[in-house]
Amino acid sequence: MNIDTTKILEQMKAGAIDAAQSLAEGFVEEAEKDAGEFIDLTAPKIRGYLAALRSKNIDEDDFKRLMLALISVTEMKALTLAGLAAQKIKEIEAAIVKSLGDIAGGALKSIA
Amino acid sequence: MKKIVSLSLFAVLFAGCASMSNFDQNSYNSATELKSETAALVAHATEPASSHKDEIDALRVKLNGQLAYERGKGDANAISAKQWEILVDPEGNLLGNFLNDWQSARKVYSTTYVQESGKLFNEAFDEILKLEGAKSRE
Repeated sequence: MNIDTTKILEQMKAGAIDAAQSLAEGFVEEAEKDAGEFIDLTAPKIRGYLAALRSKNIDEDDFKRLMLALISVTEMKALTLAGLAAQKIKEIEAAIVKSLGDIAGGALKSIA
Repeated sequence: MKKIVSLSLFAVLFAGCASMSNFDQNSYNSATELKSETAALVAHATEPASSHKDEIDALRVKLNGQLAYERGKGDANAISAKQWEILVDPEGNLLGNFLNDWQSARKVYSTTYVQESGKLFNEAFDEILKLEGAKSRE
């Protein structure tokens, strides 16, 4: 029986790469867009806090608290992005395992 | 741009060492309900806390209960649990601290401060909901 292991390994490698690429495609751009939009929205907020401070609608303590709260929300946004990335990694792992399983299964059938 | 890169880098670093729990309908529903309850209560924060003592206590109990629930899911839910910690921590900068200072009368809140704080609490809940909603439903 002649088994072309090189060919099978090449198929497995190509399958794994295809699975990872198809799922990862667009993710980085999407995450950067999401983070960028969030950062863009913080500038008007800070300007609003400063205007409220100048017009004495809030005091310095309020301003400091709002800035700290804004930083905490930013941290939560970063955690969301981390979670979305972890979720994507989980999907890629599953897709690679499935792809390798399919190729290995196919190779076994051809032997049988 | 530097900030975006920093946020993205933080995300990748954190994601690299974290696994992910699956979607939890209870978590999602609780976050939605607590978001509404928080908004309704915080809108009254220009009034003395003594007028809303029971509501403040009840909300704090629910928030702490949710934090315990999220922590109880283990390492796979570490990122969501961390988000809840940031929101609920009485020594932090968000809702937990806001409720504490309101109730301890260390602070009389102005209308503008309450409105702006309320918007930030809404955004914080939205981040929790966004992450939970993106989790796998398998």
